[in-house]
Amino acid sequence: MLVAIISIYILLVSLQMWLLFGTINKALDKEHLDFSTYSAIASVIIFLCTVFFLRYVPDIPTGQNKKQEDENDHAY
Amino acid sequence: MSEDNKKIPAWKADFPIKKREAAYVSRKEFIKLITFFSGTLALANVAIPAFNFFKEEKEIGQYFVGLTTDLNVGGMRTFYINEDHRTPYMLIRLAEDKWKVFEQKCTHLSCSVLYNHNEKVIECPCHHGFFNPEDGSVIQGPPPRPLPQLTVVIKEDKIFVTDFVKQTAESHG
Repeated sequence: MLVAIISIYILLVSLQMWLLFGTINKALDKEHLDFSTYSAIASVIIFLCTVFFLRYVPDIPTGQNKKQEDENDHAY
Repeated sequence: MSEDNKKIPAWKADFPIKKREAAYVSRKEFIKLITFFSGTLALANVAIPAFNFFKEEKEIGQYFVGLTTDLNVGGMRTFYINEDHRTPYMLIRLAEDKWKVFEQKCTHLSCSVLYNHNEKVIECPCHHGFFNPEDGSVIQGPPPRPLPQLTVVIKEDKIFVTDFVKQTAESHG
């Protein structure tokens, strides 16, 4: 399940990178301001989605699943 | 003090940090990092149109380039506006009464572009990008944007350039 969530996150960030790349290529001047505006709105929406989905990702405390190996852990 | 505690060296007792725990990155931490990266991208995406909206447009006015007798049909001449040597411009004579002025920097990696009258293209020799000399649009190659074009005004055999020509969506590569 977590792998699916991480994949969705990476997909969303890739989409944002694609939008930013398009904005840089198309709208470095005053022309095509409409394109860059819609791209900015989409990018912010994606960011808000990623922030919202954070609550569905469980926080596994550090080393919790490593307890059985702690006995032999001599690496400091 | 128990026997076990005696076995622990002093340095270990002072720094009881386990390497495994210190180097452990949970999935939530990783996703938080991705979210931070996402926020940075969103900020950059908002900053570009905001910066462009408030940026003042460069006004050239009327700049004298030369005489119509200076250039033959199919010829090309490089010039600078207000001695700004960072941005070269090229004046092209496509036909007897057809003049065009473009920025002479390729929109890919800023190489100097050249007009090829035989092929009727503006060519970037670095990575073989080709532009249309009619409107500066990209015909072929890696350039992502058309060449910026200036308006040409002819007054009694004198050539002047004025402001940038607004690009249309169709001319966009």
